[in-house]
Amino acid sequence: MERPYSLDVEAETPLLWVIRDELGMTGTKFGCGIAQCGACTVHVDGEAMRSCSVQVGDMANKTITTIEGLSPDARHPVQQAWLAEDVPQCGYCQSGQIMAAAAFLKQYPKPTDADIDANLNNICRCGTYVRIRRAIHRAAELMKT
Amino acid sequence: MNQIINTSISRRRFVVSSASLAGGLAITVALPGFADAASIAAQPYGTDVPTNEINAFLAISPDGGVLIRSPHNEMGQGAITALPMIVAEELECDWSKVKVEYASAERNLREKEVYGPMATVGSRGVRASWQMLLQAGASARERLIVAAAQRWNVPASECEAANSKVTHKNTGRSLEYGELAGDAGRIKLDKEPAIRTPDQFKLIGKPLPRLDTPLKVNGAAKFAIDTQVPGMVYAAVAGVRRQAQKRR
Repeated sequence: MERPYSLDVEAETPLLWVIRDELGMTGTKFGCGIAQCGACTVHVDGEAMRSCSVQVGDMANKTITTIEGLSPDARHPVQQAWLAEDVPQCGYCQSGQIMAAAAFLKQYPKPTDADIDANLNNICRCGTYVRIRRAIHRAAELMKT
Repeated sequence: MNQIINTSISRRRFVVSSASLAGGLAITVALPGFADAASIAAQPYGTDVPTNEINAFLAISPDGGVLIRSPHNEMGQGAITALPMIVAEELECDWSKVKVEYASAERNLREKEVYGPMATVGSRGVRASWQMLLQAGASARERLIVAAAQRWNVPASECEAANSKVTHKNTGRSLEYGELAGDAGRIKLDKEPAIRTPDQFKLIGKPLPRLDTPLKVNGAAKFAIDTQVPGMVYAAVAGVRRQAQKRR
């Protein structure tokens, strides 16, 4: 559900903290704060971005999609694939993983393992990478049909 | 959105609750005693559904929903699925009707460690609790059977429990757990039933989907960082980087 927001915050505030603290949507996580881990990944006009390291002042008139907005009912093909493969363990990085994978699949609708390795570098401390890879292939299949 | 169910928290309770988290990446509400049921529910039962508690580990609502309380936290190791499976093994309930919440650390203090040692640490969840969880399920199942037997005025030995139902073998009559739970909670047994041995397990050992996965693919799972309390303010340590450089 798309909604316009008008906010009175400092322009340099990282987008992540506006999403979490100002708008109260906590599905997007803080991990490293330096755009390395990807836990804070959201879509900005459809493109995956690490929200801890973009300033909200640069986001005027852009469409931000968080994990909460990826689909109204958690039925996005990536989410379905994640469920089918039982991907998450602790789950902390998974919002970011899912957002990164969803944006990636738009560019690579039929990805190879090499494409996945070369383009997705979100960190998972539980080490769910093998399941993530399986789920991405499954999501690609779901998107074809 | 976060829902804070208990807002009157004493410092003592906070310390006890916090001590039951083993740091790191715990999926949790900050107060295990008042777990946000919606955040770990396997099924979206409303928190206002009246439930009939049979023992500290489980309650069965009139509509047949089975609430199982986990004495250990979920932090990715699967506790919130595995531990309820152990209860359900003996309870003979319909697994699709199970929802889970965290056991109350406060109740554990009040009721002489009814949940045992609640620390979630060192791969000890199943090892520390499995016998207790099997017993909780078996004891509840036997009470449900006795409740049905009393209703029909037949010996309990003629009744059996399966798939959230007690059936009278001779006549084929049956009653749902939801219809029996109120009575079952009041029944005293002469002797608690023996727990199953591993060769008798039906549910344990079967791979089942984790109950926490749906909450981890839509951002709904609550982690420590997601805790919100009324009037909360935010603070950060300033100048950390410089401090770190100076120490060298």
